[in-house]
Amino acid sequence: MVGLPQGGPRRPDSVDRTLAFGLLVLVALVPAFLFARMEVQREFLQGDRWRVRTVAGTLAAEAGGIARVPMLARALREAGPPTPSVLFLQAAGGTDEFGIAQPARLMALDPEGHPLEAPEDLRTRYQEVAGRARAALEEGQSPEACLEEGDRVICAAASQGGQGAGAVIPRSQATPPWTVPLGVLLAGCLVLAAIQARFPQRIRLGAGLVGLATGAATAGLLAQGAQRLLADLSASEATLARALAAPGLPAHQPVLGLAYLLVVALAAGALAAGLVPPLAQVLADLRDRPWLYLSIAPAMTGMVLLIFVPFFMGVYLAFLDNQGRFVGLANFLDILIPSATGETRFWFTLGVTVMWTFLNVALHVAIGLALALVLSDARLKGKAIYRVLLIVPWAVPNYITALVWKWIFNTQYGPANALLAILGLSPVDWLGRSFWTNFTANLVTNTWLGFPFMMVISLGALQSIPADLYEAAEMDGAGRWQRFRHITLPLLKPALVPAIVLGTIWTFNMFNVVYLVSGGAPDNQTNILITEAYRAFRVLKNHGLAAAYSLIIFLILAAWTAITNRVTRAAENVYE
Amino acid sequence: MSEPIHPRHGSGRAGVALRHLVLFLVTAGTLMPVLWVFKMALSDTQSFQGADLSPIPPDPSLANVRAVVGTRDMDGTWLFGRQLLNSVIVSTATTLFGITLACTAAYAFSRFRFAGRRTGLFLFLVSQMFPGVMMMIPLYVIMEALHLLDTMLGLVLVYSTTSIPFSVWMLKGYFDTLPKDLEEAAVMDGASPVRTFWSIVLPLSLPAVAITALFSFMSAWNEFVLAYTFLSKQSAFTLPVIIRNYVGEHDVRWGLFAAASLIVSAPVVALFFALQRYLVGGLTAGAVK
Repeated sequence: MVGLPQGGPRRPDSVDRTLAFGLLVLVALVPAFLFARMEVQREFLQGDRWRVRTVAGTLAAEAGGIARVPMLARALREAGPPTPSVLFLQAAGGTDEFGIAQPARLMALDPEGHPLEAPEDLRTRYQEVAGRARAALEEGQSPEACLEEGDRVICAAASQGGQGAGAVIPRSQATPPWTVPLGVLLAGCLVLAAIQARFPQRIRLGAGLVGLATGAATAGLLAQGAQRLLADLSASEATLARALAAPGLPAHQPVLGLAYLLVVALAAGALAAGLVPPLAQVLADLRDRPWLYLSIAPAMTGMVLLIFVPFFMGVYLAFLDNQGRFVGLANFLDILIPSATGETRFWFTLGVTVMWTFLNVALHVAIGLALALVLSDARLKGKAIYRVLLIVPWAVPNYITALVWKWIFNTQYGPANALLAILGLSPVDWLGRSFWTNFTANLVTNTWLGFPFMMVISLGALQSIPADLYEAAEMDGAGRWQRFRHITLPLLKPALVPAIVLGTIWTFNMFNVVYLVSGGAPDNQTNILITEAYRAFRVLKNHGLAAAYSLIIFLILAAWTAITNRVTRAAENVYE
Repeated sequence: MSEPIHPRHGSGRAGVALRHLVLFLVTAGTLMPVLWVFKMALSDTQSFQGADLSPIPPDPSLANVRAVVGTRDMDGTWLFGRQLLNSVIVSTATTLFGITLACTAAYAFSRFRFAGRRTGLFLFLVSQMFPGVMMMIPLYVIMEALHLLDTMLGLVLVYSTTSIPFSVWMLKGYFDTLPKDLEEAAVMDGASPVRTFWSIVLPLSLPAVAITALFSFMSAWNEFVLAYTFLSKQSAFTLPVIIRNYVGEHDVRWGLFAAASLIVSAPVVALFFALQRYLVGGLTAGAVK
């Protein structure tokens, strides 16, 4: 058997185990580095903001800030990069010879004091920031304002009499030295060599150890680089503060000591101990059948990079506040503990979501199954046409469906009220102030778009039930209900249960319908958990809260799936 | 007497008539909203006074359709054509890319037993439960760092990776139901695994591949939250984003919305119907073996 090797798996040898252990330690360092990188970026931003604020403040400190530009240029040269790309000087408008108020003049300079043609969008942005600085001055606060935008930081300072100054600085980026990609490449090649079956074991062991050492050294280099960058930044800031006689910034603390790395590595090692045997087995298998792993690798890589990495970044966000400070479980407590002032009402929303999911799935299954039963009569003519027409709702994009139903439920010109009028009933303000009418509108919409899926699943499953079962049951005198109860339902179960599990997850997270039809009206009462999470993100602009909310949704769904899996034992079939 | 439930049993004449009546009423009720959209699209008003239930437009006109199709930007570029092209390219590329990767992975998962297989399958399953809102901010950051905002490549990468797990599970379920004898015979004759997959497994799995491709295409063609978040240039918009723009917070143009909806839905509904005969087999084979 060459093509479909099914023989027993190769047992991992000592090289596999060593490699597995080393790789796990290296992998465990990745989150530590990502974390450190975020910290470094935050320190950088703080430094950039301080620098640009100090420059702007120096220029604005006295009338005719242009006189201070040469001094400033010298101080900036001395302090070293990062250097402002543009300086702004704003002169008060005053009045002209006829006594008419003139608009304030805005001058752009390069850091050496030469006039500069600043792009229009930058000028507009600066004016915005300067406006905020003036407002702060009028309110008696610190007369400064800053804006981080893309890869630049813009700050403005205002002084009495309508004057002001500002500066723009390119945001500092920590680019790893060229040795780092080289080290990663080298380590990768050596590790690959170590799992080649054609090399003798001693060479594999050597390559593996050197590869792991290269990886560790690269990690060390990266940590050293980050430390040095922060130290340089602190030194440069101290120089600038001295030259401008401005208040300095506390030194940036190096976040990544080697000791810290060691602790992380040890903790990772302890954790890795349990993961070593399975990974060693993977490595042994990989040595045997590399093509098998190659066929999975692209899908797996894409999934890890664009689903798992964002997910774990989201998990991290859930523990931060809006300024990026670590706040522990505060976001979760905010959500879970009911309070009079809380912005979300988690338990109420959870109740609505459970009711929403249950009613929808029940209606989908009931309508879908009923239609499938009606359709599965061999003597029924034209059932292909009915079937095709009945799956139309599934084919229509669901956000279009949602918007169409929003129109149908419109109080003034929606067909729903027109229908009520024909029946002699008074119109209903469907999407108005009542919870139940809003909820009903959502429910009707989602039922319309959801039953065809269950119908198709039921039709497929009904087709696979052998007819003789029914004949036998009929011979034994089983009635219609008994046949349905004891033959149809049990045999539909294998198809319906996974469909219901899937349908529950879809409905639980059915963002489009709730968001577009009722939009949570009235007062976010008809929101389900996922639309509340989105509201925390878009309306409350609290990313940490939104992430925490989403994490709770995930945990609920994961728990629910685990329970249903256990109950139905679907997992056993699935992995078999 | 009692009316049998099962297909291969006959029902009385009255029973058939009753079934027809039920089916006719349900079908009519189901199709009404669609017909109203046609009516709205083919009338020439925006604030549509639709308080009558007839699905026939009072005075048919193509004004709305023309207005949607003829959208141009300030330079006179044919904006609608550009956005249509964006949608077509993004959805097609997503489908081809996603299905290729999902097929190879699903085949390996279905046919071979190897270390890490269960973990891999489990990861694909879990990834379906991550709520989209949570991924939005990090994905935006990643796309920004890779300079992929406002590009079709960025959308294709995100759409195909998010559709791959579902595709892998569907295809794996279907491959599991195929008998192994044919493949083993091919291997005996000296065919490589790649060749076995390409010329034996793939042709047999056409229904499942077609349905999986259809779902991939539909999800890319219909997706609007991420597109709305990642795209800021009008020339980079996909069609769902323009539909959202017709139904703004304060300015709702139902007529244009209806016309645009028809145009956007038409290709995917057509595709859906072309492939619907595979639906039953492709979807349920894995579950009902």
